[in-house]
Amino acid sequence: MTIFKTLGAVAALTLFAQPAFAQDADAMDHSKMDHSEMETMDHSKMKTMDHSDMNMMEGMDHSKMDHSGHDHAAKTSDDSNEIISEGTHTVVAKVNGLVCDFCAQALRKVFKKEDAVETISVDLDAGEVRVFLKDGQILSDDRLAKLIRKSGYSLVDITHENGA
Amino acid sequence: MCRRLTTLLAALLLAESAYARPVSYPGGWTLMQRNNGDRSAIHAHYSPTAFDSFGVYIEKNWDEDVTFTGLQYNRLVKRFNGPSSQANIYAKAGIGQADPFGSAGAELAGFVEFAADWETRRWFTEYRLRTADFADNESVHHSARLGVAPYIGDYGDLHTWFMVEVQNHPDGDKPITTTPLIRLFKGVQMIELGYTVEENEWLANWIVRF
Repeated sequence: MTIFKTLGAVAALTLFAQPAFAQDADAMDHSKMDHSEMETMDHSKMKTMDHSDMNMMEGMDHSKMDHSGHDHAAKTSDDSNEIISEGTHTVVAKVNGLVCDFCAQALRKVFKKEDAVETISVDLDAGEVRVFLKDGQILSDDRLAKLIRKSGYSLVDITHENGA
Repeated sequence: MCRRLTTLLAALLLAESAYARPVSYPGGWTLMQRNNGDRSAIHAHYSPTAFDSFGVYIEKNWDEDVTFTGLQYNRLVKRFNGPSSQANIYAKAGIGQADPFGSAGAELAGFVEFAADWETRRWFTEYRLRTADFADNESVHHSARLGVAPYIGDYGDLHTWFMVEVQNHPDGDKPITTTPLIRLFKGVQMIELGYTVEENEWLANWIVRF
């Protein structure tokens, strides 16, 4: 009977634990924000804007905005590494600690849960993780760094490739 | 009846946490088995983060005729990520009951373990220290491994490692044993097959992650 009790206890612990662990402490409550004017914003005069403040815009539908006047591929803000990756961009992250297939699997599992990510590829030889974003989706560098850390590895550097 | 089921489960599934990472990716499940002739064990665990896992651990010690059944917690205490290497320090603990056959009943039992490893895509080293109190069966156990990969496979390939494991049981009849083994690793599955020279016993480990 002991084994069944033990297995039952573990099953119960797991069931209760999963929802709590599934929560993202960084998830924003967008319900309290006013996004009503965002779809019609004109970004044409925003070439010099500081994109570091745009981290809050994760999850919005950026595809409906007018971006004709500025280049999202450009890296901005010298005092912050907060860069927004958008559209059909690919983000290449140099990562330390990638020594085996389990490492690549861990990264795949973590990034797969990220809405903005289409897919990723892992190059163990180069120590690189290539993150392919969905059309119109964005992923901040801070968020990317957090996902790498969550997977158990160390981020060294991020570069952006504009595929569109 | 339940005692038989426990023994049968341990015997059929063979084994313990094969010498591999006791913590998986966040949300990952892992099933680990080990059998080295002296002991057979199975460890099923869930990793809520990349740094913790907990689950069930069952071990049958054939020499001492003791079965341990309990819960195990594993903690990745520290990871050192290098450009082409990784090192880890783990702490593990288990608590449950030991059920010596022939005794009046089960007794509170437990174990603690410390493990450290360092690996590149070519080389692997590991050290483990485990102390256990399974009813009247108290033990201390050291083990170390050195491994080399004969080739560097790409992601998704079959990966092969040649390893040597040296174990030290200070209170054992044969305090030091040596086990050459081969590790095969593809996708989410890993198997290890070896032979302990001094004991004339086979080693068989298996891990699968979900």
